[in-house]
Amino acid sequence: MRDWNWRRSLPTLLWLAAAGFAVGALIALA
Amino acid sequence: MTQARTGVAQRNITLVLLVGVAVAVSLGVYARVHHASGHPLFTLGFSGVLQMKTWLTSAATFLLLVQLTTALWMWGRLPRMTSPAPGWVTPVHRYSGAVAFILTIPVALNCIWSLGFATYNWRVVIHSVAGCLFYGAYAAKMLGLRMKGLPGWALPVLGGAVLSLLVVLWLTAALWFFTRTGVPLT
Amino acid sequence: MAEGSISRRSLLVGGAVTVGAGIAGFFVARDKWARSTSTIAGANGYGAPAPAASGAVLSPLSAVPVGGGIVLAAKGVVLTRVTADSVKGFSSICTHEGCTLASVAGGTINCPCHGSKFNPATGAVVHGPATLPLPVVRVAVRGADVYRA
Repeated sequence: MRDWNWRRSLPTLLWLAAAGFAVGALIALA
Repeated sequence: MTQARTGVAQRNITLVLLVGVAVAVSLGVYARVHHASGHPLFTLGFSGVLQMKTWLTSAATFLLLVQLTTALWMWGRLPRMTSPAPGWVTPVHRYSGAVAFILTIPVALNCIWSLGFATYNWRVVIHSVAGCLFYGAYAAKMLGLRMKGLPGWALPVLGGAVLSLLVVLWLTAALWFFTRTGVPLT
Repeated sequence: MAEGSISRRSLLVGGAVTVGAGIAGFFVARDKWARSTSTIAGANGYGAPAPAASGAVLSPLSAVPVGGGIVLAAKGVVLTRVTADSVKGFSSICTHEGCTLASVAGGTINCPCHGSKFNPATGAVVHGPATLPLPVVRVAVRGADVYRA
């Protein structure tokens, strides 16, 4: 993944992580 | 446009809207069906849950104004600033958006789990509906960014929906909080 | 302005991040939040402590006005003094959604969030939306101070 542009993807990965975390939490709390 | 391209375009916009609706409806159903726990989750250092939610939402709303400004700039719609936006504008737009979204998550978790989809007065009904639609619009907009052939109005409408819905959420909750007397501010 | 369609690699990385975060969220919620032993009921329950331990000094008697009362938020107690020699104690958390009560004024104990009001002598609900009365916190006056009984 050497040519993968991590920096460019960072904002996307940040909100994806937040959304994923929230969904996981909601499932656990259900 | 060739037949094939219009087909793809139509499929894409439909998919985007479907995803948005699916997210919104799922949240609404969960919030409605899940028995409101009536317990607080966390306060993140603020004196109370209300304070945490109010300030995080206010920060997110402020960041969305940054989002709006940078978006208009990128699309050449700022008055007297029609030349191409400097290179830093795009990352500012993307980061301010990501951070704003992240800030809403602790708020939404508390609201959905502790209070659920409330219907006891108009303020909370509007808030509950807006909350579901906000995440649906956000999902649709983020997906739409990566799809080809969307109609020209799609991204501005979806982005505008995200912003407006957050403003509605702020008005029906944070503003309500600021108008209470006798509650600690932070 | 679109960023170009999603490559398979993007999908994989994005998916992995989302699912990984989801697993983290699941366990944090399940093990930290769902097990919360907060005794404060109410979605807006503050980090306010449960009422102070038995024997603790709550307030000098002189600080509790006759015909009124004071809210000691940090100690989780409301002290009311309907007549000069009857001091009563109640939880300072509104039974509606857990906001900390704001004041004893106008003959009632008042919640700032949705307008619930409680009777200062009995803790009963005088005005909604709360429906449950305030839990009593037993207090005693010894000398010049009010103590948690």
